[in-house]
Amino acid sequence: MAKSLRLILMYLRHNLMSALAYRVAFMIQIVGMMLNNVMLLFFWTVLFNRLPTLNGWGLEGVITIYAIVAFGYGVAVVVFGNTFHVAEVIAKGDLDYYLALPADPLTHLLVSRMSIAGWGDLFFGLLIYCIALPAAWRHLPLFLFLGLLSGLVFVAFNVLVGSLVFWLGQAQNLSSQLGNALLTFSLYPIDIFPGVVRVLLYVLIPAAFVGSIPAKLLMEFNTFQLLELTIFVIVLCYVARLLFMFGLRRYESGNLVTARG
Amino acid sequence: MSIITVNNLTKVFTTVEKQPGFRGSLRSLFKPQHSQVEAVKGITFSIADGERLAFIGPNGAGKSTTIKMLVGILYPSQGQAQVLGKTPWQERQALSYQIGSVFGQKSQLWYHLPPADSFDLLAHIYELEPFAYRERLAELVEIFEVEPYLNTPVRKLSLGQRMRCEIAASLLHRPRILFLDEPTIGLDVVVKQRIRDLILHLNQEEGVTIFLTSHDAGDVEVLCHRAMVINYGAVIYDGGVNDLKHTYLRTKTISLKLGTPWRGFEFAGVSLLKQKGYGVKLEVDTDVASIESVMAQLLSQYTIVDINIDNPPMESIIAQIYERTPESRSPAVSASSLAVE
Repeated sequence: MAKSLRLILMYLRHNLMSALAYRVAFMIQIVGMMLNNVMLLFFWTVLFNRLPTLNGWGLEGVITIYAIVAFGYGVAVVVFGNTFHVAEVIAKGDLDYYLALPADPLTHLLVSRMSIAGWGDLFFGLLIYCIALPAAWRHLPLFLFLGLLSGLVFVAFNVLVGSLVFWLGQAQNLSSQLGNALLTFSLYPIDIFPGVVRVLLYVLIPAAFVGSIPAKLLMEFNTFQLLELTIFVIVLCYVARLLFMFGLRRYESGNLVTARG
Repeated sequence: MSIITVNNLTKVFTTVEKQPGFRGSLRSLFKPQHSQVEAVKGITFSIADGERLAFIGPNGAGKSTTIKMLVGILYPSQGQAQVLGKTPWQERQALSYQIGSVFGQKSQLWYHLPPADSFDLLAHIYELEPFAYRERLAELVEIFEVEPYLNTPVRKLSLGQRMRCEIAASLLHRPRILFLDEPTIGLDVVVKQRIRDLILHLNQEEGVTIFLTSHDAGDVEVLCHRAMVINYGAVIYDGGVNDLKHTYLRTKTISLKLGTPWRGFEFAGVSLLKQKGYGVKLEVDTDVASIESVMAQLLSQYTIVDINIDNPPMESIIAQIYERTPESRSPAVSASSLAVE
């Protein structure tokens, strides 16, 4: 655990150094991503100008969801930058590098890339939370913790679907679609969906755990639910890791770097 | 003492066979036909501490698959292997502290950062003591002469400079075995020679066991004293490089650009391969005629503008070995039996 934490910090440092080799590109990507997110949120403000609430959710609730998801997503792609590339790395045979070194291969794989635009998401989430919501700073530690949990759901779910490559051989599209679906659905309040879809968003794609559930917790705190969420995330991470490690037995490596789909 | 022992190591890949065309794609979707490809077919060998082994064979022969199993990256389908007393795929992490690997085509250096930063990161990954690391780094920097560009981003280094850093990086943790997969690929002659010297130095000064794959006959000749040829997943030659050389590296080609028209050349052991205008290509059987005597004779008869002396490519040496082994699955031929042929 301590080893993994050290590895994470080391890579954070090196990834940042590498990104800062191109300062202007670095800044443009961050600011660009923040603007992009502002536009997305803008549509909701237009909607809530016309109707006061949507199945119990108001503008404030949606902003809370956006803040959490953006921050969590930011943490996932900044610290664990390969989150959305797990399937690709396995299919291309790039696991070789991580397997040849003594560090834990899953952690090592995840941290060895950093999405620069992800810093934009991370800052955006933090900013709208502090600016747009009243008395937000009082719950800041809770917000950070919930954001971290939601980031871990992103990471674990993508590891889970990325590991499908071990069995299916070619599943980059499937896993990236599932990964993106998690992000897309997490941005909507869970209660606007009809019953069956809602169940799917709890079970198949854990979108509810990324956005709506932590947002509700921030608005209306409940110790028991927080505990539940924390345990769920830990179990999800554990299962994802188990599946990945099990899949390694089936890893085929390969020099197929330039093969076309 | 054996440092690597491999017994009946086998790796089978399952692939889906597909008929050509769209119809074939549809058929493979609903009724996939699986076929088993035996990439490595029950190979057995052992390597002693301090050996320099060349592991050669054409593309797709099973070289990389074998190395990847020995490093612990791939699980075998069958068979056993012990590297430094450990089963690689079961004790991969523990083993990785004691072995190093350099893959010519896959870099372990950070592209946008100077090598010094990559070295630092690797030192952390290998959990080296800061003081011991600094001492080791200073030593490697001196041997590999990478001081001048230690702080230049890797993307600005030449391939040769990068490769030296690459090998230095894999030695930070003082591995006992070094696996090199085509370390001289794409390098010019001078740099190639330099890399070879360095690898030799490592073996002699630090006792590092060298396990090398290459398509360069020069690498094999200069660096290694033992060669193992593998094809279709089976070992077809295992013996001394000198025997391999005597048996198969018997010819050299001389390419000439003449200043005067070609009038023919009579010399025992020399045959004309190609002649066009002032360009001539000769093959010399080095058992019959020495390169020196052929050159002297040539210089006395012609004005020579340009000259090249080459070994036959590795590929053709291997091709010769196949010609002598009727079946690709026949058991490994020992050096001695090859030599008498």
